[in-house]
Amino acid sequence: MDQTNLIKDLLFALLLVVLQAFLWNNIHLFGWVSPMCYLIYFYVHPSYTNPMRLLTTAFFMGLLLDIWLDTLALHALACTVVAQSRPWIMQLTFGLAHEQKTFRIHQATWLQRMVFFGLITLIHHWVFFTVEDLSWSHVGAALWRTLITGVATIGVSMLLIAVFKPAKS
Amino acid sequence: MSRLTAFFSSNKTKLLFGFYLVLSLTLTLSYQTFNQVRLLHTSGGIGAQIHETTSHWRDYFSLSAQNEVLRQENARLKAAEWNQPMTHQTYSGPYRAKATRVVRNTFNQRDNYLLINTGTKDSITTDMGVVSNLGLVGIIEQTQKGYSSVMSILNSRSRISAQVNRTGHFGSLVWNGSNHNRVQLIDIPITAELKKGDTVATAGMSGIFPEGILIGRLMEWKKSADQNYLELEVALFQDMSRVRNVYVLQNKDKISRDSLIR
Repeated sequence: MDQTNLIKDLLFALLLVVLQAFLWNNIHLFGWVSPMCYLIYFYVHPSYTNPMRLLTTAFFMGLLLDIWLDTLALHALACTVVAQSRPWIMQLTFGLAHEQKTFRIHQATWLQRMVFFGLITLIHHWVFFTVEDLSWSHVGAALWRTLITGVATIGVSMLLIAVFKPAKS
Repeated sequence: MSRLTAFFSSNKTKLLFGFYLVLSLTLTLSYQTFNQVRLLHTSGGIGAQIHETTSHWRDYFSLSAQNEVLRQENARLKAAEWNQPMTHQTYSGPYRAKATRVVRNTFNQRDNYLLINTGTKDSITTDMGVVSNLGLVGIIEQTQKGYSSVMSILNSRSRISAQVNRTGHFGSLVWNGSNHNRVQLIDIPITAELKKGDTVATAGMSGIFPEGILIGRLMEWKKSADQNYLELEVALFQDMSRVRNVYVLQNKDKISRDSLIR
């Protein structure tokens, strides 16, 4: 990733954090469910970049959100886990195709993209809500919140991705 | 040495992941373990001011000034109402109500807090009760000069004494984390003859809240795990996702009252 792309990438991450803090976190579906659409960052991030850079960006993106939303370091933790597992998720979803530098996510099938973003979301939410509850007696509640918030995140995010998808060249 | 360098070089991504993982877990667990208050730690100072600014925008611009006048008047009326002599609770002290505004509110986490824009400069101290015109909101947990954090009743650590108004049975009000419109009243004796729709209010045991502040309506109940008590499901009167204007209750006799209990 060259210098210009790096700045663009960081600005995009920052934009998603701001949108999450001021917009998506103020959406309360069913009265309490706020979609975490900033996970779109892990969806659009190029596959060939330095994994250490992704880890660092993910950690600080999460930490910024934590500071704003009073969520301890839960977003930072969940984002770090997602960043680390992203190559594995890509391997699982797209096979070897994602290792090619010419690979673009929007060229994958609709189902593959859904599965990819779905796994990112579920891993993130599961870590987030499990550590937040941190009690065996609340495992069921954590799974329930993972599922409901996950559906909201995937639904709203895929809608946004469909609206703002890049034009076909 | 070269092997060590090679090890670090080949595992640098894993090591960095481990570092961030340990750091974020430490930050999270240290707060949870020591029950520290999150809101003022992370959102204090500049953060609190930004929250207040964004909150102002929600308050329909100039309407807030008019609201303030009305709330102050309401505070005086509420204080007069709560200071009526109790018929069977001689320990309830005279309460003062300080009108304040919620500038930040969480309700969809496991441990929820509110941030209000009054603090030590307004004589707010910890363990003061916070209520709205619709019912119970929480208890002051930490204060700064201009802001205080309130432990919401939607918090796993919240335990407030409450009673079923019709029968007079009292227990502890807790939250199981599943629904932000419902709380649970536990430790109610199994002999209590309850009716769906009974109102639940504060019991006034702690001196934080006067007796009789409404909390919610009884929806259903079941036996506790040990079969000796009832667990009541209470639908809150106050929608905790829409708390804006609240009152901090100051009980000037609380210190002397607490010293007698000890």
